This record gives sequence, C-alpha cells and structure tokens, in this order.
Amino acid sequence: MDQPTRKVLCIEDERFIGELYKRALEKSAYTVDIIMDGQRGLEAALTNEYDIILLDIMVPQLLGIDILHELRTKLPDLKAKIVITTNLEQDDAARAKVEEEADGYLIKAEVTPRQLVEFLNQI
Amino acid sequence: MGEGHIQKFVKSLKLRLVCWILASGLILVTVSWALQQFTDLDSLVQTGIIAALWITIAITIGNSLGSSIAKPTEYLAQSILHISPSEHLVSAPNLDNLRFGRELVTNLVRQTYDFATVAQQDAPSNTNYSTDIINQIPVAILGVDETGKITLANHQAENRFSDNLAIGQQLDDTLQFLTEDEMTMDTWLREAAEKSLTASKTWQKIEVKTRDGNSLGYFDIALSFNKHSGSGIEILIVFYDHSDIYDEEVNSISFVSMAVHELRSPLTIMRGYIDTFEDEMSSSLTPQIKDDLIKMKASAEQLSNFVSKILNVTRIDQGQLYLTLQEESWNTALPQIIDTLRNRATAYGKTIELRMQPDLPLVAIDRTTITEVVTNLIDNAVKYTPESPSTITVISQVNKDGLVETTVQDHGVGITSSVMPELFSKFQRNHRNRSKISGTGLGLYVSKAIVNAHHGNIWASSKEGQGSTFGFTLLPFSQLAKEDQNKNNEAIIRSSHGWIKNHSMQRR
Repeated sequence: MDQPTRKVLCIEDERFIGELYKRALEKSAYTVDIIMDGQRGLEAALTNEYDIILLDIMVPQLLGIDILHELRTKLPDLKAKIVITTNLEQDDAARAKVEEEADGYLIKAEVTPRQLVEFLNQI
Repeated sequence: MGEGHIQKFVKSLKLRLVCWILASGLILVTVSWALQQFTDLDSLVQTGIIAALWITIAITIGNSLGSSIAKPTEYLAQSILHISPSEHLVSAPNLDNLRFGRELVTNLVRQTYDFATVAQQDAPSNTNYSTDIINQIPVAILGVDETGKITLANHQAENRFSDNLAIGQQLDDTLQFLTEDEMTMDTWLREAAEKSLTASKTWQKIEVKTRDGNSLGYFDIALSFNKHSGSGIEILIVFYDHSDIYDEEVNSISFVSMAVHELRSPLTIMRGYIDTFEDEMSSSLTPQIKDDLIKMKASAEQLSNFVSKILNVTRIDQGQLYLTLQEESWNTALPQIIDTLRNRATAYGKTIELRMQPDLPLVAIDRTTITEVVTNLIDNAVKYTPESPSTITVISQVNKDGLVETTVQDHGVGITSSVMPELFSKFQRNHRNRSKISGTGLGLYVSKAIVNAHHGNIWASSKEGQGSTFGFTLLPFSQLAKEDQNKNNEAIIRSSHGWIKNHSMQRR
C-alpha cells in the first residue's frame, strides 16, 4: 500500500540547498514547496496545510525564529512538524529557546539530503 | 572670665572656712564658760555637753562647706555630661539653686556650652564626608542592607544602572549577576553570613543583566560583607566596568560564528551534491568514480568537522563552550557515531572494528561534542596510519573504577615520547610527522576540553613505530547526577571550564 504523500514547506534562501532537499524528498513520496523569503514563507504556512515545515533561521524579510514564534502563536493547534535547518551556531541558551518551540533542529552542514529524509521519515 | 575669678572663689572659700572654725570655737568657749558660771553640773556632764555641741557644729560646718565646694563641681560635671553626645539622660544644671560661687560656676558652665556649640559647628558632618568620597570614586558602588534592600548608590551607579534600580528596592528584583565561577555570589554570601562577621571576595567577568534579561555589561566585581557595620550597609558591591574588554571577547566569538556560518553554506551544498550523486548515479558509476566520490565525501566531512573545531576552540578559550549532558545509552550512541566514520576510514583504506561490552551503564553525554571526540580520535588514527589496509580497533567497557572507558587503537607511526607531555596542547604536532601528515593540532586540545567537561579523563599511550592508543572515560549518568545532587536526572549543563552558574546575587 502506498504511503500518503506528505507535504513539505521549505523556507530556505539558499537556492541550491532548497533544490537538493526538494530533489531528495520528492524521491521519497514528499511534495515540496520552496519559498526563499521569510515573509512569504510565513504567509504560505498560515494559508496552506503542510505536514512538515523546514525552516531556515537566516532568511530575508523575516527570520526563521520569528516565523516559528508567529506560527506557534497564531496556530496553536498546528499539526505540521516544524524542523529548524540552519548553519548558524547559536549559543546554547538561544538554541534551547528555539528547540522548545520546534520539533527538530538540524545543522545543515552536518546532514546530507538523504539523512534529512531519514530524519523526517521518523517524525 | 579669667583666673582672677577663680582666685576670688578660692579666697572666699578659705574665708568661709576660717569664719566657720572661729565661730564654732567661739560658741564652744562661750558655752563652756556659761556652763561653769551658771550651772552646778558635774564636770563630766559639762564635757559631754561641750562634746555634743562640738559634734553638732562639726556636722553643720561639714555639710555647709562641703556643699559649697561640691556643688560647683557637681554643676560643672552635669553641664559637661549634658553636652556629651553619648549621655542623653543628663539634664542641664539649674544654677538658680547655687548660692556660693554662683558667678564663677555660671561663667564656667556658660563657657562649656559655648565651646561645645563652636566645636559642633566647626566639625564636618561624618555622613556628608563619607558620601562625598563615595560619589567621587569613579566606579559604581552599591550598598545593600541585611534585608537585601539597596540603601546606597553612588553617582557612578546611578549613571550606569539608572533605569534599573532605585534606593529602597530589593537588589534581587532589579539586577542579576551571571558568573561562570564555581562560587556564585549567592552561595558566597550565604556562607559569609553563617561563618563570618566580615568577609570580601572578587569575581571576574560577571555579566550584569536586568531582571528582563537585558545585558548591562561585563564587570569585575568586589564584594564586601560586614555583619555589624554601623552604617546599616551589610553588603558593599564595587563594579569595575570591563565591558569594552569582555565585549571584545564576546564579539570575537560572534565573528567566528558568522565566519562558520558562511563556510558551512557551500559545505552543505558540496556534501549535498556528493550525496545526491551517490544516491542517483551509483549504478552507472565506474568503481573508480565511486571511489573518487567516497574520497570527496570524506574530505567534505573533514572540512565540516574542521569548521566546527574552529568554533569550539574559540569557545573553549573564552569559556563559552556549553554542554548539555543527558542520559544516553553508549551501547547505542557509539556504534551510530562509528557508522558515520566508516566511509571516511574506508576512503583511506582503513577499517574500524568495534568491540563493546554489552549492557554498559547509561552515561551522561552531550551527543554533539562527544561525537566530535570520537571523530577526532578516529581521524587521528586514520591520519597517522599511512599503511593500508589497516584496522583501527575501538573497544568500550567498564573499567575497574566503574567508569565507561573507550579506547581507539591504531597500528600507525606512533608518537615520540618527547611529544607526549604536550600532546593535548593547542597546535601541538609531532614535528617528525608535520611535513608528511596534515593537521592543525587542534583536535586533541578540543577533545580534552570536551572530555573534561563530561567529567571524564582522556589519555594516550604510544610506542613510536608501532602505533598509539587513545582513551577516554565517561561517567555513568546516575553517578554524575548523584555527585551534583540532581536527583531528578534532568539534563546537566556544564561549561568547558566547569559548572555554569546563573544565579541572582542576593541571598534569600
């Protein structure tokens, strides 16, 4: 029996990284929307239903941390899993604060696209 | 009034005395003659009467003269005591009751009061004098009483912390003091209050924040405790503002963090495409190309690790490397870590053999950083074993001290004994291998800091030409939690320099 397709919103301003993730995820029965700025990304997350939101921290217009907070505030019953993907090295206090609101936290440089898919398959 | 008045008083006193004595003598003689002339009393009776009369006269003279001499002295003493600041119950002398020597005594008392008034006017106020000095000192000073209330803030403190504190506020409600020192201000004050009457201590690099978490800067702080200070200030806090120096250190970490972020982006893309090629094209790749891809992948991973290492070294040096130790199964974690390293080893013609004692106790680890330790040790084993094929042996078991001990053994070039003492120092590399084997000398330095922060030990043994064994220990989580009185087995946060403390200063 085929697994139902999971919808992913990828808010990522690095084009090649977004493409890599889309490519790997679509091979594993995910559909992926890529949005490259934070404000439009937030609007898409508020408007559409997604199963997973991959959220980069350093995106233009609106930072990923702010998007995360907005989603948790405006959609307290949000079913989508929010996974932070970043190459920023935050101090532990800042990271802990983000991890409180997110469902996952990945350093992009330490995770290959296939490892990302494995991680998302488990959440 | 001059000496003439005193001479007059003394002369008058002497005259009085002479007159009393003469008068008493005259009375005695007259009574004696009258008794002899006009009475038939026995001579013994007459003597008795004279004696009684003499005693009566003596007592009367004594009282009168004594009063004349003592009263002035009494009034003078009373006036001096009245103006003394420590004698509050003595009233001013009432000179109306004085008859003898009134002029002298009145003048003396008046002069005493005049002198006291002048002295009081001329002497500077002690309180004003102290406050002036404190306000001139070019560092912020706060005084706190025994209830924790701020009772003193000098001008510098008012300028520096103006929006965030006020006299009369509880210090605890206004400022928080963050330190990496083992001894927090809170703990030190509690101990000082229990054991000492006076005590003092200094801390370096305290971050002072408002209760809302806004940073007010970095200070070196001197704290003084005095249980019975007469001023009511039990705790005096002196702030030496070193924000410019410590901010620079913090900024250097920010610069490195930003640099790391910029390096990681192209790394992510490189590793991503290598992974994609492997995944999508493996069936059409020749063995040579596959092998090349493995090497590219290993190099990209190496670069990624090095970028993390740069950041960690900076953080370790600044005391900013924080770990979150959580309870984990080493039987699960170590194999997972080794699996991620097998490709790298394979790329260099090495295989990793893992032998683990089953049912190892759960350990307290920060997964990210302990992975870095294992990676560094495996990388070194690979790097310093030029010959291929070769096996790197990883063994994990409980040692005789009950600690989980993990060793990484290679059969490579080994380490010269002269290098061993400084093996875990920054940039330390075996000079003989330096030209042949690449490396920065940071891996063991970082690994040692991480293992120490895990409450473990790291060591090395080696024989030149035969290979090396590196090992480290991890504490069972239950033991670590017990040692730190963390009975709920919650995650324990440690810095690379010891415990992180994040307490407000004021005792409760």
